[in-house]
Amino acid sequence: MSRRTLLFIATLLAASLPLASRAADLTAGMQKGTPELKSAGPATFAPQGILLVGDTANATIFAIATADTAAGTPATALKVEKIDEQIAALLGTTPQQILINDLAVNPLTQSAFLTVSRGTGPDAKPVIVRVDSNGKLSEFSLKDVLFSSAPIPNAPTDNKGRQDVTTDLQFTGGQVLVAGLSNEEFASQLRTIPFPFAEVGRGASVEIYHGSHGKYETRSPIRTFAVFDIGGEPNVLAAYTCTPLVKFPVSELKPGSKVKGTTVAELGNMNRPLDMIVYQKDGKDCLLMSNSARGLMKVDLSSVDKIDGITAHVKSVAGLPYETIEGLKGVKQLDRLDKDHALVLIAPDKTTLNLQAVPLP
Amino acid sequence: MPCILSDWRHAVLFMALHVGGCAPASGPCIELDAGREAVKGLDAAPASIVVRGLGKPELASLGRLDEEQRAALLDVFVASELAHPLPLAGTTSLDGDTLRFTPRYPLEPGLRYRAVLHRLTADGSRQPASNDVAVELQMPPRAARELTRVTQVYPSSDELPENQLKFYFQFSAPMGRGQAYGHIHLLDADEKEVEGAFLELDEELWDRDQLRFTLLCDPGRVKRGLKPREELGGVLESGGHYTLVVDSAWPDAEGQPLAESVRKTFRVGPPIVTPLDPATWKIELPRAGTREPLVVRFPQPLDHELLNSCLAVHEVSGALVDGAIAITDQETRWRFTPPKPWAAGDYLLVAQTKLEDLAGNSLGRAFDVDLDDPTARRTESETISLPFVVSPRAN
Repeated sequence: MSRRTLLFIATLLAASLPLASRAADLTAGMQKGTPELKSAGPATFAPQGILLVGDTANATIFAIATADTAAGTPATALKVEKIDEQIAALLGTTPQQILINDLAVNPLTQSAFLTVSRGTGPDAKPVIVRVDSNGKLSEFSLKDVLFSSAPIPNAPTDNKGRQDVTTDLQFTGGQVLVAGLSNEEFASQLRTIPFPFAEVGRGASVEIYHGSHGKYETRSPIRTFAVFDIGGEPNVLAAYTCTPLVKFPVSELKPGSKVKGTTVAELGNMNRPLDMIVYQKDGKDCLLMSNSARGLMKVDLSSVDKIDGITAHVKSVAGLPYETIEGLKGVKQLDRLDKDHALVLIAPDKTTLNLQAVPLP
Repeated sequence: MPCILSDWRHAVLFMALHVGGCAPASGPCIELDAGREAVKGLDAAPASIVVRGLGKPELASLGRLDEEQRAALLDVFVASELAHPLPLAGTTSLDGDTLRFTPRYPLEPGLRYRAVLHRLTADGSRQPASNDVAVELQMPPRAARELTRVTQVYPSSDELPENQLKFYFQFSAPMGRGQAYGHIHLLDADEKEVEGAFLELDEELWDRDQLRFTLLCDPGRVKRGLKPREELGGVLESGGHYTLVVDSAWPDAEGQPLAESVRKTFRVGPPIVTPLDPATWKIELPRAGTREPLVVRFPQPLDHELLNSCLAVHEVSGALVDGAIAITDQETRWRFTPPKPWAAGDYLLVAQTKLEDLAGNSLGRAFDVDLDDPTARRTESETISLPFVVSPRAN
């Protein structure tokens, strides 16, 4: 069972239990106020309706207690057409001045939270838009919320020119994993930050490497990743910017360590992975990945614990088997909605962007 | 021009765009209020939309409402083709005899908005929709200014290695994010576009002011032994001639196109696959008592931005020496000029090992380390120090 599945079930259970019997309150230690986000990038949910948002401009991860905990109607038939135009209308501007940076579904309520930039320049305003399970859009107000924040470990602070861009983040086992890359040196750091933020130190930064055919070794920034249990141990399943799909145990992410991913699939050229989720279908663990050129890919993870890694030259697509899901072209972002559905941001043509629920294939 | 209309559809059909200044009339009138910013002469951006000319009974009814009820009476929309657009987020307040909508975010220059006032009767009940007052308002356009330009492309050399890793584009004004990759093209000698040449990231790689864009060549086609390179070949081929084109349609932060397209033509040399070797650097020493620059010459161009941040001069005590850095000669020369004359003594040139050449090889290691080659990995430390002496006479 994937970590996300576990998280999903855990959060559902948490919502159904009396307060006294719940796990530790993750909002304890948070402050009440208005988090001063400079940008709102990659986002994901931790338990208890806590939204984690990567703020590249601040080199900070914010944890925001959304208080979005009351389950609404299931969103499995949700479809919001022209979501970018709707958001632009809400924020009083044109779709050209709206960037939807990420999509995160609150598993407690099936509400979608979209991290948005209003404007495209350096003074663009970060906005979080909530789409409830009925498809109603509203700006999620950051005023007087419970929140905490943590600086991204080892991020540049003294050089205005340099910026580490957060490409993805995930919550797993009491820590936030943050992937990114620099706009200057070719670095490949994956940061780990213990959560709740207030309790412990600053976290660690680990350089990620890729070994190619046992001959070459390179730094390998991660574009998107998911966390998935392999043999009872959480592993990162990551798509590098240089395209291989790799795995490595979360337990290897220790300060000062050097982590080299095991290649489990090579997904081909002229294509870039955009987003991924893990789920179960018909008793099988699966990875669903959106791509720039190859559509939506469903990767069978059944043998991921047995694969030793691709070490020979690969003439065609190799490693874990996958299939391309027809009829779902143009998926930009996706997240789990429930055990049978995903919510996707999809561009059926060049001028339209919709938010809609789709059955997990 | 009338500003009281009983049917907003009628208003949309027959009204010219209203830019403020209610005509004397006997009913409510909706207009833009330029707000204080215009008084300061900053951007003349109207801050709010106001309703004036409301009668006393209606004002009294409005006064009895709470904020949420009042907000429901004045809707402001972006004029768009959406069938059911969402109203703008914002607050509606009653300020004396003026009903004011203050948008959550500034109104956009040049954009058209539609404001609809739902009327109240004297007893506070809602009048029929046919009595709504609607008007389209257009924000004044943004003040004209000089179009943004590409001021520099790095590397500035006209010969690049086959495994060239990244380019920097410097702009004269902040650029917009989100469209970069559609406006940068790599052309071969036949002016044919090289497909899949660059790493495209939704986040895009900008500095904080969005004045500098970093473009990475697709690392899957630069690294050795990876599938994309094996199938498609490298991005560049040694011996080839290429042109990097920035087209002028790339919008800046205000949505304006660039002043002109830019072309950078270069030829391609052999790949560089070894770490930087400081033993090959030539250091020209200044004389004590002068402000002569310390000059470091490199046998090949290094990364422009990393040269700016990865080399520094320290006293042997560890104290940082203040000075201005200049990078010249197609990124093969680093000049350090102190604000006051050099004192005689021992110094250290401290280099961060993340300093890279054009192919991503750093002081610490080659970009892609050949595991069979012991020289491909040089050091794990974060810095290396090169001692030098400043004496009164030229060395």
